This record gives sequence, structure tokens and C-alpha cells, in this order.
Amino acid sequence: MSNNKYWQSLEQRDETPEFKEQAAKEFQDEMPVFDYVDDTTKVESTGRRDFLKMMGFSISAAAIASSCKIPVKKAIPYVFNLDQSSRIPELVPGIADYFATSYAEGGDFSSILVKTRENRPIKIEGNTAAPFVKGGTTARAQASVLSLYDVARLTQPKKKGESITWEQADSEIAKKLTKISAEGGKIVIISNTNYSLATQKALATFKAKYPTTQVVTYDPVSLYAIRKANQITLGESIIPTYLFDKAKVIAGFNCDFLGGFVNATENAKRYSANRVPTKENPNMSRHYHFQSYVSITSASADYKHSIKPSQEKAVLMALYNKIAASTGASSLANVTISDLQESVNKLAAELLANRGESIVISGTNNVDIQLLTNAINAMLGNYGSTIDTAAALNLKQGNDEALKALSDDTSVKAVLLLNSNPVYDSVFADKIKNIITKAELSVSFADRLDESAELVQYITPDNHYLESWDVLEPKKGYISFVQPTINQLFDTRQAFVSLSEFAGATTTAYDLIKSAGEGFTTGFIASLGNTSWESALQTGFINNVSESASGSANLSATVSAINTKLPTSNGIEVIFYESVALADGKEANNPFLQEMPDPITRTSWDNFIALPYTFAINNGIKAMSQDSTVKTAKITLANKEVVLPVIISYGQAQDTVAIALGYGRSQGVGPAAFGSGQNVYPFLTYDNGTVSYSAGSAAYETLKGTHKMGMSQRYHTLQEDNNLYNRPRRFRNNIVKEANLEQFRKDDTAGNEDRAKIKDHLTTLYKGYDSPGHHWSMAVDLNSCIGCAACVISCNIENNVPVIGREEMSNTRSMHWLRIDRYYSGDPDNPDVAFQPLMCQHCDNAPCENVCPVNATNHSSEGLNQMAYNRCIGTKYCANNCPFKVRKFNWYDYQGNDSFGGWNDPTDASYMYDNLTRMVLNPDVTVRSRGVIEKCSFCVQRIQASKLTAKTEGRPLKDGDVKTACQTACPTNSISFGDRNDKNSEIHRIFFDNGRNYHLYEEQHFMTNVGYQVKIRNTDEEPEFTFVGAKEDKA
Amino acid sequence: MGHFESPLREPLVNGNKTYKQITDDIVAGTTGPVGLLWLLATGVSGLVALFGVFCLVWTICYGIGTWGVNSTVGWAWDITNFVWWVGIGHAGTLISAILLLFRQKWRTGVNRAAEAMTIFAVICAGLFVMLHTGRPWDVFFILPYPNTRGPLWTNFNSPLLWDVFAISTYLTVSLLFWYTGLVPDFATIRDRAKLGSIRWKMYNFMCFGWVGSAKHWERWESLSLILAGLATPLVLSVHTIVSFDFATSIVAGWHTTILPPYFVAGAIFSGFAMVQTLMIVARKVMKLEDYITITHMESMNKVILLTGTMVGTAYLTELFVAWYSGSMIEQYAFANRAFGPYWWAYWIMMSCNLIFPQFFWVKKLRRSIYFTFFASIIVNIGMWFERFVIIVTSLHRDYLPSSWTSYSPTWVEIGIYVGTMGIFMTLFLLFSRFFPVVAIAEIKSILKVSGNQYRRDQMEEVKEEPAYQDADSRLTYKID
Amino acid sequence: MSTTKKYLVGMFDDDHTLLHAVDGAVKAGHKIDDVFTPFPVHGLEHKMGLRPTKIHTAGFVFGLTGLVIAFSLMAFASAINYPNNFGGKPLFALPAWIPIMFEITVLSASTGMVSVFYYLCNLYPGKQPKIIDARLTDDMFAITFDITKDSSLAAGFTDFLRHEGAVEVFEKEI
Repeated sequence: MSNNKYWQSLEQRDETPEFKEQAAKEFQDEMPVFDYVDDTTKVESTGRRDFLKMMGFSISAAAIASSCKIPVKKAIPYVFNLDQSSRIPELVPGIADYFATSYAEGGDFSSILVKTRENRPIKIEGNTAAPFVKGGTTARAQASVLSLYDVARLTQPKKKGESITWEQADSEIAKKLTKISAEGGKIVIISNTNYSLATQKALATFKAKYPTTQVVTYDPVSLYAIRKANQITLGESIIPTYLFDKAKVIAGFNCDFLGGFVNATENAKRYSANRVPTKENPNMSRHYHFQSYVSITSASADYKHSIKPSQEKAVLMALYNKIAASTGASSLANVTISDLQESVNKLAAELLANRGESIVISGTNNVDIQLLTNAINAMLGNYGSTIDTAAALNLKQGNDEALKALSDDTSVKAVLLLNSNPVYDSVFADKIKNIITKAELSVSFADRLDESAELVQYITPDNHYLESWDVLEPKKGYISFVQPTINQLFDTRQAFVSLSEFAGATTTAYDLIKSAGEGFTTGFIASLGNTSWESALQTGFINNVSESASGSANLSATVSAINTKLPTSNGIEVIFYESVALADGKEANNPFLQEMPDPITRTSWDNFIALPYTFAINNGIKAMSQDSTVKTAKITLANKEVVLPVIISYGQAQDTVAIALGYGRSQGVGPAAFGSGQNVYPFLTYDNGTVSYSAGSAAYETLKGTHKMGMSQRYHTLQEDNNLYNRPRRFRNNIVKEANLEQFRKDDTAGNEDRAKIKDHLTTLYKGYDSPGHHWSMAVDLNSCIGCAACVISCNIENNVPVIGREEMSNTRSMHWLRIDRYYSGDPDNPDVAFQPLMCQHCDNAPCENVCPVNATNHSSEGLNQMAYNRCIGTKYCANNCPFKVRKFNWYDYQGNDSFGGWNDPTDASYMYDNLTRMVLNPDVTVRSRGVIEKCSFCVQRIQASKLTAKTEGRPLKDGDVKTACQTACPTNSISFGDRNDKNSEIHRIFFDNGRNYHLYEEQHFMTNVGYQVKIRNTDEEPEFTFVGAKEDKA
Repeated sequence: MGHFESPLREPLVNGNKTYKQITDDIVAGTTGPVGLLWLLATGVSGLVALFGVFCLVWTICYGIGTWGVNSTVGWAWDITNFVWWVGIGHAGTLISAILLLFRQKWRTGVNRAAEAMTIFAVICAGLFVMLHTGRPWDVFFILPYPNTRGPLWTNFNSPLLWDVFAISTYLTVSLLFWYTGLVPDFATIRDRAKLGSIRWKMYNFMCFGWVGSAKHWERWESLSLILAGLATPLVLSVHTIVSFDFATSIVAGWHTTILPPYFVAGAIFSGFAMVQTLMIVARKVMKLEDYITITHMESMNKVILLTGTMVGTAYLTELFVAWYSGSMIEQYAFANRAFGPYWWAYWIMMSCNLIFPQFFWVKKLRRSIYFTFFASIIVNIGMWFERFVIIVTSLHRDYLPSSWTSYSPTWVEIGIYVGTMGIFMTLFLLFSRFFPVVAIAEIKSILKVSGNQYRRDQMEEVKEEPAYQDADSRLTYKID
Repeated sequence: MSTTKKYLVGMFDDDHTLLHAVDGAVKAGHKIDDVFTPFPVHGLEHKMGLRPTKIHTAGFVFGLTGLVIAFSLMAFASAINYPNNFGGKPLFALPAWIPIMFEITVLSASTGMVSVFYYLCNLYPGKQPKIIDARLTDDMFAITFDITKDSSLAAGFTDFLRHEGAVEVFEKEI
């Protein structure tokens, strides 16, 4: 064993100090990097680390340069300095910017905020600062952000289907217009109601240029009768603002003032304001409703009475006479309304007891009926107290007579369709079709190839409102601005700009509206002190409406104008109504709205024939559909007929059926709209001066055929097959607790008495976990919830909930994280309705969590039930073990996930596969893969965001910092969310001080973090739980 | 030496068999030309299996959406079939293990095939465990392996995880038990083949070079005994754990403490039925009537009668408990089972599992091949419906009436189920062709106590050791 | 094993005769090398005076190891390394772990035991066996005496075997 010392160099052998030093280093000093490093980076000695730094930089730089797509292709251009002002903040990636603007569609208006991420609008929020609506929105407003990214939108002007340039369009149209007006030919602009000052200015310019121009305004669902009646009663043809918050007694007659009608959002706000009794103030308004079909309004009424449309006038006359008798007004011809007389007497008595604090309102487009309601209101002195005529609404200005006149006019040479689609949704569709086809010039401003646009020569597509500038005056004295939240996606142009272009006045939208806005608001600006145009735009509105209501009515004129001839009722009467989801059908191609279950029947993707219960049973319709297959039926009316699926709508008046408008669109409208339901606008009739939305003497015939209906709640009622029906009734008592106002006044835990006992019996083997920091909880007030489903759509948009289509809905695979369950009780022909929004209950003892084999779902220390989507392998065990069935499984690849290649959803629901549509996705929320479970997260991304804000601001979270998507959307403030541990939070008060608060299946000790508040009905009778419709199960 | 059986017992091996005949009879099954019937059967079941695989691939490509399940009924045919197959898988190990412990000699005729059946059934069951997940490609998440996402572990409180362990353990142990039993018989087949031929090599490979030395036999016997000892509680545990999937949940109709014993009984019940079905066919096709006798069937029918009645009692107990609990949800769940939309499934279950087996009180029926075969089919149908009833009727109407739905299968689900039957049959047919379907060595070891002619000898007079008496006469044999 | 050995083989056609012969051999003090039978002949091992196998001890050890591993893994994972709140259940949920502990015990016991068995018997796939006579897996039984060292013993053994009723006696080198 030799001990030779081996050496590579003499230094090594002699172990010189230099050598030792070198040997200690891994690399040699003085890497030759100076050659390519400029002086700035040059340091004293560029060692190994520096070398690595530089190498790292150059490599990553190279990588970025080579790997990244050129961003311009797909990025959306920013909306920078439109007026060379620095109003719009520099974009901070990952930080949302909010812009104040306005949503206006049909009878629906609200001032809103638009959330943009990377200058991409992704969410609509109510503008809480705005008056009247106070942050409320409708489902349609919430969904409208998706229609911005609608694949069916036209991308540039067209001439007979051929794409053309704007210059060409402008010059050709202008030439023709000049020619026509020179010849004195008639130019007609057919428009739906618009209260856009900019448009009016543009129209003025247009008229000045082409004096033969006539503007005809109509509404698909018209309220012309109200304006006509008010012309007589109030001397001006207006629609007043109804102050439901000031009313103690509300009597509605076929008026869906919470869903359709006009200005529903404000109505809902005001209505809900005094529908929630508290221990301190145990009062609420009493709501009578006489309806022919079940709307969400009639559903939340205290006293409901089914009447045929033809009965309405008689009932109102009876009511008038009753009240006239005691107010000393001249009475009308006597009418007999047999069984309803009693309830009319009761109503009359209460109205008289609450003079000046009541509202009688009808949605029927019939002058006599409107005059009657006016007269009654006048006798009760409601004008100026609960009905504000000063704050007149500019919505629904449609003039049925003008439309009639136009339809008979054969001299029209040019037709311009401004924000209107008369061939589809007007009562005179056929005649107007002729006018359009015959006209020398026909232009449509439609944003898509709709039924009318198909026929015109030129389409000059309008912008989506999120790309537009505008100044709106929805209410006299209230200005609301519209500003772009994104640069226009396509080569489109705002309609009023086009109009002025045709008139040869070259301008930009911004200049126009600025002048329009200022031109109008100078007075205000003065009165508002130094409120500048910019800050007004930033706030989104200028309000000059006085708080105190005013108005006086001319009773005698009204009464003398009433034609007391009663309509004759024969055969089956059909009601055509606006559905909560689609209204008049303008948004029909919005898949979120198509998929939104109807609040009453819980069906989606189709309109249907709503049948009254007994009638349906007699016609062999079964209430329950085991597999979403329903019978179809044929309605024949004035030798027109329509075939639609039939659904029992409990509370539908006997011998009447109801069908929703707005369905059955043409292919051009878009994939979601096409093939959904049937169009029933052709059934509308024009009858002395107004369009009638109901018709008598129809023939009904149940057909052999069946239809697969999108159904979210197959069990329409709580009835059960065979003889087990009494059990679900008991189910129901635990789920939706009810009491009446009297009981509540006596004991604020009325209807909720059992809770104390349940809580005593709760016990556990485990010590459990406490939430030291926050304990997030939610409370839903069943009393103020009107089932409008704004929360559902808001949740969908916020959380990237996929759209799954009719077939999947019919397989009861709805993906909605938040659904609104509907329960009936009482007489099946006229039941009480209760809505119950149901989202993940975030149980502290969550049954879903223990059973997950892979720990994909667990509980946070803040009481959240969490999902780790990427960990989930989709055993669905948690969904089975969830007592509330709020866990949703991704059965197919609904979002067009690339990793699944072509293996997409084989059903027709490919609405989210397209890159344009997917621009709406919220970058803060994971898009779920196929085969994983998803569910409500209490908007954890919002909680996180608020925490970060609070942290950066160096303060603790306050109550109200965190608002969930459903909460912000709710027009009636039914949803409260917050930290239960925070002693002075609202949620803490509700959970610990509110006697109405209860939890679902508390006795099972799930310890849910969502509380519900007992539904209080303002009825004299105690709520009955006799349960609906055991009869027809035998049938 | 093995215990002495009463001569009054009927023989378990008929015909005057010698060891040689036993060998030849059983080895015959694996030699000679392939029977047309066998080819046909294998071909058909192979095709069925292929269709199953197609449906399976279809499911993986498109997703579970291709099934009839929905948001409320998250499990249906998939788990029904899983439990059904696992149940069937219980007879094999039960017969070999428990009956070995109890020294039930009649097991020897059937245990080999029964064990094979177990393994194939468990494989089919495992298929559904994989497939019912939304992302089968990620199913390895379910194993508690150290990983770089860490710390990240599985949830050891989840019955589904227990299942994974139970099923895999069960499969492994059954395989070991089965194969160790096969080794000496492979040797027997090997030695019937020409030395050095492919066949010889093949079977020598499979028998690990077994020569039958006394030492090996000793170890072999004690190994089998201990494996049996381990497998017995295992059999009971597996279906107990499967039942925990339901028993530990909060779904009314699942959440019942009676489930474990009732599932085990059910498993034995369906397992034996399946053994009957296969044996009756096998003994005819493979001409093994002498080894799988009526007596075997009768004993198994007795077990079926017993377990069937146990299961039935459990059904009735459930009803009583639901009523007695006073819980509205419980009561409704069971009322809905019996009279709800799926009443027919419930009553099929009741009549097949509780009522029908009662016919076996009649000895004549117990010993009738045709009736036994028919009954075994009925029982298997009944047990499938039992699982369907438990899973679907409990789920489709639970706590919130708003989420009540119904369920019906799609062609894909049906295809997969039928496919697993194909897979099962194909495997079994291959087994019957290449493996000794009856445990040769074990049969031989009971020949003297349960063989037919030996019985007769014992009946006429008790001889000491007949073979030894005239030993000298054999000395005339030529030796070289 | 590689070296071939020379055996004197006595073939029997009946297990009872065999047993008797083995008994005799042991009494006569003839050292039996091995006995081959087509099936386990009960009592043979006692007559041969083989010591009972320890295979079950192995089983117990493996089982115990499995049990310990299973428990400690679950305890470590659920209570120490990855403590999470699942449905408000305690972290150290021993009752819930019993099923898996049991399964792992059985699994490791049986796998361990089987491997020990094949190891002791020196059996493995593809092993080239020393086959004395093919009939030994069929219907014949054999007693073998090792006469490699001293072939003079053969004669004595032969007589003995014949007397004991061997149907064949022959020498075999293998």
C-alpha cells in the first residue's frame, strides 16, 4: 500500500497559497464576459454569479421573445384618453376598473357600474350611488355583458348581405334619402322607445335635412293605454312613478310590476322596502293581486285571486263602485262578479282605510281599465302621495295608434329601423314587412341579422351599449350617462352617429353626446354647483328629481271617459306575457337568459303553454314529469295556431292559458335564440287604439307528441305519487318556514318556534373547530325575495358557470351554483308561492368533506367549504352526500377546454367554446375542467380581494367590505353576507338577534353557514300547509 | 391423517375413481383439440367484451355525461355493478377459505373454479371503481404517495379510500391463494406432457418447478391453512367496507348500521348463486359430473337458502327501524322505496332474494339441477336490483324536494355492464381451457375418505389397511 | 444443487403403503432423503419426523410490520403532516383508520408469507426441476435414499423397500 501523492500541477504539489485559494472556488474568476457586456452592467469583477445572471437574463429574454404570441392579435385595445383627458386610469393588470354607465332595454332601466379587467368588461354591478334603483339590477342587466361578446353580432355594414364600407353606406344612403325627400317621398324611422338625448339631437338634425321624415315609436310590449288614460286624468300622456314604499295597501291587476311592466328594478326596490317586518317595526304592506297568469309579482302577493282577462274590467268597476259609494263619487253601472265580490269588498275596505297610502295598478294595455285604476287612485287621493306624476317615466313611449296609422300607410318610400325589429315583435308585422320590402330605401341599425334586418337593403350595425356613448333621461329630471367600457370590437357605429352621418353632419359619438349632455345639463350644472361634466360622467348620473311626490288628478273627466261596456268572455282566453328571463325577446340570444329557469315553472330554453291545474288534469296532463318529457298542445286563435309544450302553472286562472313572448327567433338572431320556443307576437291584436295582450275564444287541443323540456325542478309541487303525499308536506315545513304578520307581532319567532328545541338537542362527540378570525356567513330573507333570479345570472357571470343547453337541462344537470327553489302550498288552483335561493350552505359539519377520498374539498378556518378543482377526480361521492344537492358535476367539457381536443360536449350546448364568448370569463375564477365537482364558494375571490384592499390600506376588514355577486345583484336586498364573528356586523345581528332566522335541517347538525329568515305573509289567515295536488297523481 | 367421515355421508366423488383416473379426467380438459362449443362461447363473450371496451372508451372520450346520471343521482349503474361484482367475488375465497377452516371436504370439487371466478369478478368490479370517476386518468391521486405538491395526502376518513385498500388487498390475497393452490396441479399437467415440449416448458414455468417433495407439501399445507385463516376475516371485511360507502353517509336509506352484516350475507348469497350458474355449465361441458356432484350443489343451495333468508330479514328490519326511528326523512325514504316510482325494482328485489330462495326448503328442488340453475339466475338478478334499489331510490329523493329527480340508464352504461359480463366469461373460459378447473391434488387427498368405492368398502367391513395386506404379492413385479 | 446425486428410488402406488414404509424406514433407522407424493399425504411429515414449519411466524412478523406502517402513515399524514378540517371531524380519527390498518396487515402478512414459502422451497418461475419420475405427480408415491456417497447401501435399501411393498425399486442419478 503505497502512499504516493498524485498532483496535477506543481502548485498543487507545493500547495501554494494561490492554489489553495483557487481550489476553494468552484469556478475560475474573470469569466470573459466583458466582451459582450456594456459598461453599465460592467462591475469590478464579473464572477460566476454575474455570469449566471446575464446568461439567465439573455436566455429568458430569448425565450419570451420567441415563445410569446404577438399580443396585438388577441388583445382588446384600451379605451385611452378619448378626450385627451386623463380620466381613464392607466391599466394595472390584475386590478379591476369600474365605469359608471346605464343599462336600458325595453321597460328595464338601471344605472350600473361595469367591472373591467385588462379593459375587458366582465361583470355588471348595480350603481349603489344612483337614486331609485340603488344598486339593484335585473337578470337581463346582469346577463347583458355576455351579449357584448355575441358571435351573432354583425361586424360591419352590409348591403343586401354583401359587406360594404361605411363610406359607401353613408354616401349611397344619403344619396337615396336626398332623392326621396326631394321628391317629397315619405321617410319613416320606426323606433322602439328611446330616451337618448343624443339620438333625439341626431333625429332633429336628420329631420332638418330631410323634412319628410316621420318618427314612429312603438314598444313590443306596449303601455300606451296608461299614457292615453293619463292624458285624460292628468292632462299629460305620461307614466308616473309608483312609490310602493309609501303604500300600505297595494292592489295589482294583471300587473307584473316586479318583473315586467315598466321600471321593474325601482319598483322592486321600493316594494321590498316595506315588506320586511322587524321586531322594532312589525309592519309590512299588504299586497292584493288579481292575476290571470302567475308572475313573480302575483307570487309575492298576500292575497291572490285568479281572474280571466275579460273579468278584470268588471272587478275594477265593482271596486270603483264600492269606493265611490263611501267617497261620494258618482258610481258606475252595477256589475255582478259573484264569487269575487267578497274579496273586492275586503280590498275596498282596506283601501278606504288607507287613503293616500295605497296603490291600485293595472298592467293591462286597455284605456278603460287604466281609467278605472286612475279613478280609484284619484278617489283614494293617491296622486301626489304614492303616485308621483312629476317624476314621469320616459320609458315605454310606444304609440300604438301611430303604428297602426303607419301600417296602413302605402306612401312610405324609405324606412329606417332604429333599435327596432317590427317584423318580429310588432302587432302589424305583416303590413310593415310589405312596407319594408316595397320601400325604395330600407335601412336597419340592428346589431344582428334579425327578422327585419333580413329584409332591408342596408344594415348599418349599432354598437353594443358597453361600446357606446350616450345620455339617457329615463325619468324627467334624471340624467344617466352611457360611456364605453371597451373599444368597439367590430367595425360598427352608433346609430345616432349614423343618423347624423346620413344627414351629412359629420361628428363623433363623444362630441355629440357631450353637446347633448351639456346642452341639456347646463341648468343642472349650475344648480349642482361646480359639478363638472367629467365628474358627472364619473358618477354616471345627474339627479334633479325632488324627493316629495306631487301630482293631482281630474277625477270627473276620468270617470266620464270610462266606457262601461263589459267585454264578452267566450271559450279559452290566452294571455301573452313577458317572461322574467327574456322579456320582449331582445336578449333572446343570451344563453345565460335562455338557461335561466323561469321563477315560477322552473323551465328553461323554451316558452310553453301555462295551463291552470284543474283544466290540465281534465285534459289528461300529469303534473309531474319523471324525465322532463312533457306533452305538447296546440292553441288555435283566429285561424292562427301554435304548438308548444304544456306546463301546469298553479294559480293560472281557469279557462285561460298563458304563453310567453320573445321566443321563436330566426337563425340570424343567433345560435341560442334559434330553435327556442315559438313566436306568439303574431297572435297579438289591435283593438280600438291599443294593442291587446290577451285574446278570447281560443281552441286548446292536447297533442300526442311530447317535448324534452329544460327542467330544473321536476316536482312542480310538493305533491307525491301514490299515497305518500303527506310526507313532503312535512318536509316543506322544515324547509320554508312561514307565519303571518299577526303571529309575528305576538312572537318574533313565529313559524320558527321549533328552533329553540332543536338547538337544545344538538350535541356532538367532537370538540369541533372554531373560527378565530372571520366566520363568513350568509342570510337570505325569504320575505323580501321576489324570485327575480338576478342573483342567479350574477353568480353565473362572476363564477364562470358554464351554459349547458336544453338537453342537459332536461337531464337535470343544471350547473347553477345558486338556484331559486320554488315551493307551493295551499289550493292547487291558487296556491301560495315561496321562493328559496339555495346555494352551498357551507356547513361547518359538511357531509361532503369527510367522504372525499382525495381531500379535494375541505373546510377553511373562516368557515368556507373549499374546493380544489385540480385535486378532484370526480367520484361524485360528495354530491351524493350533499343534503342540498348544490354540488355540480362537470358531466361534459362545457367550456371548450383545450386539453380535451375535439371531445367536446356532444349535446348542442357549445355556447362557450368560442374565443369571443370566452372573453367574458372572470380571470379571478378557475374555469373548471371536465369531470370535476364545482359549487358556490361564497365568492372567495371577492373575500380575498377585499382582504388585500384592507391590508394595503392598513385597516381591519369592516362589515360590508365583502359583497358576494348574488348580494350585489339583488334588487330587494334579500341577501346579507358578512363575518359572523364581527359583533356589529349585519349578519351577526341576523344570526343572533333575529327571531326569524333559521337554518336548513338544523336538527341534522350540519351547522350550515347560510341562514334563512321566516317568510311572513300579511294575511289574516294563518299560512296553511295543506298540500298541493295529491288528486291528479291518481289520474 | 385427515378425519374419518361417517360412511353414511354420500360420496363427493362418484364412479369408481383411482388417482390415475382423476388425473386423466381433469387434465383431459386442458389437452386434446379445442371443442367447437368452447370456441363459440369464447368468441361470443369476446365480442361482448369488446363492445364493453368500446363503451368504456366512449365514456372516457366524452365524459360521464354520456350516462344517465344527473346532479341528484350521482351514482347509479356504475356503483350498482361494482357492488354486484364484488359481491359475486365473495364466494370463491369464502368457499376455499372458510370451508377449508371448517374442513368441509365438499369444497374441493368447486373451490378452484370459485376462486378463479372471484378474481375475474373483482377485476370487473375494479373496472367500475376506475370508471365512475370523472377523471380516470387522475385516479392515482387516490393513493397516499409522497408527492411534490406536498404536503398533500389522501383522506383516510373516506370510505371510498377504505374501499380502494379493501378491494386491492382482496384481489392480491385471492390471487396468491389461488395460484399457490394451482402450483402442484400445474406440475401434474406438466408431467403429462412430453418432456421438453413447449407445453412442458410452459407448465413447468407456471408451476415453478414443483416436484411434490414431502417438505414442500408440508409447507404448502400450512401456508394454505394460514392464508385461509387470513382470507376469512378479509372476505368479511371487504363487503363490510363496501357497505360503509353507504352506511357512513347521511343519505336516508344509506345511513343504516345494519348494512355491513346485510351486505356480507348478500355477497355470499350472490356469490354462491354465481358459482352454481358456472358450475352447472362447467360440469356438463367439461364432463366433470363425477367431481362436481349433486351433493355439492345441495350444500351450496343450503348456503343460498340461509343467506337469502338473512338478507330478507335485513330488508324487513330496515323497514321496522325506519318506522321506529321516527325520523321523517328515514320513513319517507323507505316508503318511497316500496311505493315510489321505483316500486317495481323494490319488489323484484324482495321476491328474488327473500321469497324465491325459500323453495330450497324442499329437498327435491335443492337437488334438481335445472331448478338450481334457474334459481341461481334469479338470485343474481335479485341481488343486482338490491344494489340498484339501495343506491338509486335513496338518492333520487332526499332532503330537498326541489332537487328530486329520476334516473334511467343510457346505452353506454348498459354496454359497459354487459361488457364486463363478456370480460368475465372470456376470462373464465380461458381459465377452464388452460388451467385445471378442479383441484387435482385436493380431490386425490379426499378420495379415500369421500370416494365412492371406498365408501362401499367401508360399509361392508372395516379392514385395517387393505393395500398393505397383500403387499407381498406385488413382489413379483419386475424391477430394473 | 448443480452436482448430480444418485438416489435409490422406491415407488409405491398407495399412500397407506407409503406411510407404512416411511414408518418402517424411520424405525429401522434408514435415513430417508425425501418422499414424493402427488398430493399432501396427511401424517407423512410426522412419520418422517420433519420439524414443523415456521412459516406462520413469518406471517405474524410481516403482519405486524404492515399494521405499524399503516397506522404510522395515517397518523403522520392526517394528524401531523397535513392537518385539515374535514367536516369537523378530529384529526386523529383512529376509528376511521381501523379498516385500512386491517387491510394492510392482511396484505403484508399474506404477501410476505407466500414469498417466504417460495423462498424456502426454492421454487421460482423457470426453475429446472429434478424429476425422479413423471408419475409422482399422478398416482405414484416414492421414497428416495441418497446413495451418492456409498452405493453399497443400495442393496439393503432395495430389500427393505421391496418388503415394504414398493411396486418398483430403481436407482436414479439426477
